[in-house]
Amino acid sequence: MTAAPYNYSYIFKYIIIGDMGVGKSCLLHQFTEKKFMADCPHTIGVEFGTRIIEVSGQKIKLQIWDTAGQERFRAVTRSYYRGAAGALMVYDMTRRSTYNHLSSWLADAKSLTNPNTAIFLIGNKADLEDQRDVPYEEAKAFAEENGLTFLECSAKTGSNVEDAFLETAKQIYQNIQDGSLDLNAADTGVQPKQNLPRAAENSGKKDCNC
Amino acid sequence: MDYGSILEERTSPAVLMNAREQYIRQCGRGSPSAASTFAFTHAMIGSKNKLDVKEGIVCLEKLLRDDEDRTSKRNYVYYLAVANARLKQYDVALGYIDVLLEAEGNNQQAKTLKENIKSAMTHDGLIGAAIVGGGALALAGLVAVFTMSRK
Repeated sequence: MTAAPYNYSYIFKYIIIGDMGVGKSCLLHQFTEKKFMADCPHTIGVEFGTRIIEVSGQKIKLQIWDTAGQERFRAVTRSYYRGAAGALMVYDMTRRSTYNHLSSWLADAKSLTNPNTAIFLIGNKADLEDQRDVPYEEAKAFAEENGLTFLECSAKTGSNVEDAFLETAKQIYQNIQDGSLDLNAADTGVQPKQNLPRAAENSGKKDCNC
Repeated sequence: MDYGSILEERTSPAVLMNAREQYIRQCGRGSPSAASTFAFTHAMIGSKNKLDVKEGIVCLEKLLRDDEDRTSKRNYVYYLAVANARLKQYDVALGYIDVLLEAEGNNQQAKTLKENIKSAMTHDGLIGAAIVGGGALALAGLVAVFTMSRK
């Protein structure tokens, strides 16, 4: 539609998943706006955010789909898993139940994304240490067992939020570099930026302008 | 894949087909679940085919009238704004998003959508034009349904 404000070499598609109220939208907002949203209402369906980052000197546009945690949206949100290059799976470290549901979120993520999808586990609300309900070591062990990268973050203070998004991008970039992620395959969630502006994508957009 | 905003997002034909099949299967067995009805309408309003989007709007309007649940109503109102904006029916779209913002003034997702609609209007050269058309009248009835349910 409009010209991109920056140039970038790749677009990576991310999804953020996890129970209701664990702070998925707040993490996204902290990452894209560097602000904390207090009293955030439940997300409707799927929210969308972007930010351009740099990995190994390459500009990468992250296209992040923040899914509603409410059960009623599961049928809708599941359709966003396909073609995600990165998945941030979030629980609330002050609410054990949100941690206990991780195996079901992980099963969804593993069955609906492709084998190369970088899955990152985030324990949010790290600022509420006195209300901690899930020990760090326990979550760390769960992550290791399941081949996930793990960090505790706080969307409120911003601590480790940047790292979670960037580390995921580094992993994806690494997979591209070492060839384990084939850019020609379908649904990789990675799109190299075409150099010519008159790409097929643009002619597609023209259709809906009439 | 390179979307500027939620308004530019399009459902892939495979997702639309799956959602439609599931919905029709459930209709065949009686009444479809609220979840799969919504998944189907959500897929319809993201279709590249404008007729699908229009049909999706009709479904959402019906859901908004018939569904008693307040949480569901906010979803329908939000997606009615999205769908109408995708059809460039910006006055109706703004009407819906304002209804949601009136109920939830701090809703960042709704604020972002309103900005997206306005920049789409600017892009289409519509800012400054008279934007209250017949659509706004049709909307008035539905808005009443939504606001009444808040009590």
